[in-house]
Amino acid sequence: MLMIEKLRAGEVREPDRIGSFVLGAARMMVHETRRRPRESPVSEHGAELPPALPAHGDPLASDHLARCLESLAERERSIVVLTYYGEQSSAEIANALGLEEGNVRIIRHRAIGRLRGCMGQREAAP
Amino acid sequence: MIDTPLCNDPLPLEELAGYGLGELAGADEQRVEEHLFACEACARTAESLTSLAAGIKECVRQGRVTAAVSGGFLDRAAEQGAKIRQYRLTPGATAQCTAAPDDDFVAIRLAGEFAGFSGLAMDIAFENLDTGERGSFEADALPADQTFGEVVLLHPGGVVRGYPRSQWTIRVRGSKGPDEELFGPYILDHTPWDRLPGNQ
Repeated sequence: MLMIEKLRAGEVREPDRIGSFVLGAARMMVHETRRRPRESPVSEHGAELPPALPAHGDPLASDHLARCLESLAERERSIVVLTYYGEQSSAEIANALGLEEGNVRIIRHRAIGRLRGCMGQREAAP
Repeated sequence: MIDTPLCNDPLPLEELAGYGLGELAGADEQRVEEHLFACEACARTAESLTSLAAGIKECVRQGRVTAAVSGGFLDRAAEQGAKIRQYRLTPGATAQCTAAPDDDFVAIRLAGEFAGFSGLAMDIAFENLDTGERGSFEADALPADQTFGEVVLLHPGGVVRGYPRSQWTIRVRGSKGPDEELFGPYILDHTPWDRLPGNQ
């Protein structure tokens, strides 16, 4: 807010660089958040978040997503669950399951693509 | 109808997923952020990935998903408050199992020398001990936890609570080159919680 007020008042010396400054400040906030324990963002801010997700707000979409998850291959579903519920990195998953880290990313990428396809989502194609 | 904006140079989905998970190196992270700042189409895709991730988490939390996981996953989920009933079986062993009303998950931990095997498969046969009805199914490409030396099967508590008095026989097959090895059987003797002595 302070930056916007300074910008409006013409007090910013290099307005062309404002985008870089804002991104840098946001990046520092993200890094600071990541340094905290992993469960803290949800427990800290969860109550403030709007119910924007299909699983919260739309039981039919949630049912659909559950069916899409069940339609994945076993290994894909495992990696998706370990990633998004277990909050484990691709390195942690690779170490636990005896896979190459790159393979974990490939399997995860394939699974996400299938889930998006199953849910009727598409890419930002040119 | 909502118009979807186009992008001349869309970021790969894998990169957007990695960004959302905080897995990109500093320079890549900055490049992705700057692209998202300028590109509405990719920003929407990133937003949909965030939504998908949260939806997946919610589906698991609500007990709608069955998956092979890791021992570390069980520890972390328990630390986060999930109530997990666990049964660990060695080959040839039988476990008397159930699911309590407040169990979020039931985890079946099948021990074995699984290191070095690719493409573990599982054959499951079940028998309803009340009606005599039998059935079987199989699952392929199961991952094994190499740290604990086991296949960890996570079942939603609500699903297990719906099982009748039944016996489940599990065999795991593993391939190492041209050879196939069998592990098991692992036998689960399931009794519904309200039919256990003392709960009736």
